[in-house]
Amino acid sequence: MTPHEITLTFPPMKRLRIAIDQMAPVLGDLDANFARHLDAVRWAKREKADLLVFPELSLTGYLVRGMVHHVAIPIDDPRLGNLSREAGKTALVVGFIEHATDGRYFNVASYLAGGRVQATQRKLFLPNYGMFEEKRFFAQGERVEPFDAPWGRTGMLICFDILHPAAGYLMEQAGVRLLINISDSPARGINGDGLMAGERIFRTAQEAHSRLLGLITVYVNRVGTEEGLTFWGGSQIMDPFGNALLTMAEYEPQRAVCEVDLSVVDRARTTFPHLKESRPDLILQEMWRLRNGDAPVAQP
Amino acid sequence: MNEKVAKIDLSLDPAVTAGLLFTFLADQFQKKGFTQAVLGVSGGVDSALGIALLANALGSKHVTGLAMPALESNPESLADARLVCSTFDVPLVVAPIGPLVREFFANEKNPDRVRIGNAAARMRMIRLYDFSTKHRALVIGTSNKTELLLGYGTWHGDLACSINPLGDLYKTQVWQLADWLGVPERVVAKPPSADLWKGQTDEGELGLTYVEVDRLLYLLIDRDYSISSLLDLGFSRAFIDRVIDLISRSQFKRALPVIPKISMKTVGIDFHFTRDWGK
Repeated sequence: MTPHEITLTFPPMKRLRIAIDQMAPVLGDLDANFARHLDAVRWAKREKADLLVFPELSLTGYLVRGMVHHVAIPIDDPRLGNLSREAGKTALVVGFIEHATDGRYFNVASYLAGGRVQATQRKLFLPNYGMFEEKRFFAQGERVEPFDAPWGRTGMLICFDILHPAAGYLMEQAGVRLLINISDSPARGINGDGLMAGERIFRTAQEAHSRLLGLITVYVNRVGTEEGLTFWGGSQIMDPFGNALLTMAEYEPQRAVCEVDLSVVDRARTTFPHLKESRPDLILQEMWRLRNGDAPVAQP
Repeated sequence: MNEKVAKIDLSLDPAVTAGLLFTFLADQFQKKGFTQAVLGVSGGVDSALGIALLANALGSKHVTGLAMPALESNPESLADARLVCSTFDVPLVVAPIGPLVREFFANEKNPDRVRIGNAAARMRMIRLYDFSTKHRALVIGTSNKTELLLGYGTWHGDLACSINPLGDLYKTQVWQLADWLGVPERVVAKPPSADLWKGQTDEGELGLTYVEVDRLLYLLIDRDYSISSLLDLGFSRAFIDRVIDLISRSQFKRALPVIPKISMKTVGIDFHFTRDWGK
């Protein structure tokens, strides 16, 4: 079986109701944030959503900095399971700080369903320049962790991961059809043309991932402020043809539900068969060569 | 200023910028548990923009302007402060600091004007923080990015505040945003002045124009231009050196006091704590 041939034990869903809670967490207050998540979970259940997605670090806030160890939780923290049980049939994607069993801390997205954490993606590319200092506080993830959901194979990336095309490419090669990016993107670089730099780069990245990898992409960005940072929201769901199926308000908290026809991925991959034509072996070979130099010519 | 420099565009999208600042101010006041703001209103464009932003973000009833003229202040400045506050329907309290400064130097023969200017700026700071305590109002700063970078402000004087919504706007961007938000034209158009002594203007005292220095600062700081690229654009070596010297000499004004490290976690060095914790 190649990585993209997936055997599902149940017939995959045709349509998926995705709910987004574009919220502002309370910085460093797990109890308050679990309460907010619970409120959103009840809303999403009423909306009969199949999936509810929260932003990056939705249980802790972003500028946790030197207080990481006060709010990090293990993957088996019972509050995560409880939240999933409350959600019933609605699956969840939440962001928090994982306190790993080896003592390291990771910025993670977890997929919660059936009363437990089913999959966890550790952030792969930690921004550590300018106003960002994530490498000071977090360890970086070492692998992509796609998972099989009732609607098909799904991947989660965290904020800057989507600005590194390799992460999305790996997800595509791992068979992902729905790519979720949870984000804490602060507004910055406002110029004269109405789009600020932060928005421009994430919008570009989302469209590139959707179109070039043939994916439905779900970008969920937080709102609110922390210190001098103002998070711009603007969460968006996009199909593989580059159509925005849902675009949420900028700077304002908002909840929204969008029903997505999953067959659009097959149609897009028929019209634009990028996956068929992708050459992972070429990439493997060339990455090896670029890192190690040309292999010595074999002696006869 | 040559053609290449003149073409450097610092203009903002005013709707996006103002929208961000309204959201930011409303959210930060809510987080900090304050509903009232107080700021010094000089009659100049920076404090006028501060008033305009706060009146929009919080509502004009939640903002108080404090006009604090010094003995040497131009009487027109107070008239402009009144004009600004009435434009945005914000109450103005006039609290002269001239007599306080005079009393402070009562036993001195010839205090120089820098000392007098600094004392005036710090008297204003005392007034603002006393008002803050009495009325539970957050002190809002109005130093723009050009002033912050060049160190054109009095440490613990006009630089003292809790939130400074203008701190990432160059002076020329302050002009643009103030105009867009309806600050009276005469306030936007008049020559910027700290108004600490007769005839003082920022540009005269600094020996440069905001239009030119903003472009240099923007390229040097925001766009990471090298010195040689700036020279290629036509900025003079003397001008670049002078600006870099002003920036580096005033770094202390933009930082906490230096604390020598003794323990494992030191304030200002590796105690990485965020003010908004729990909010």
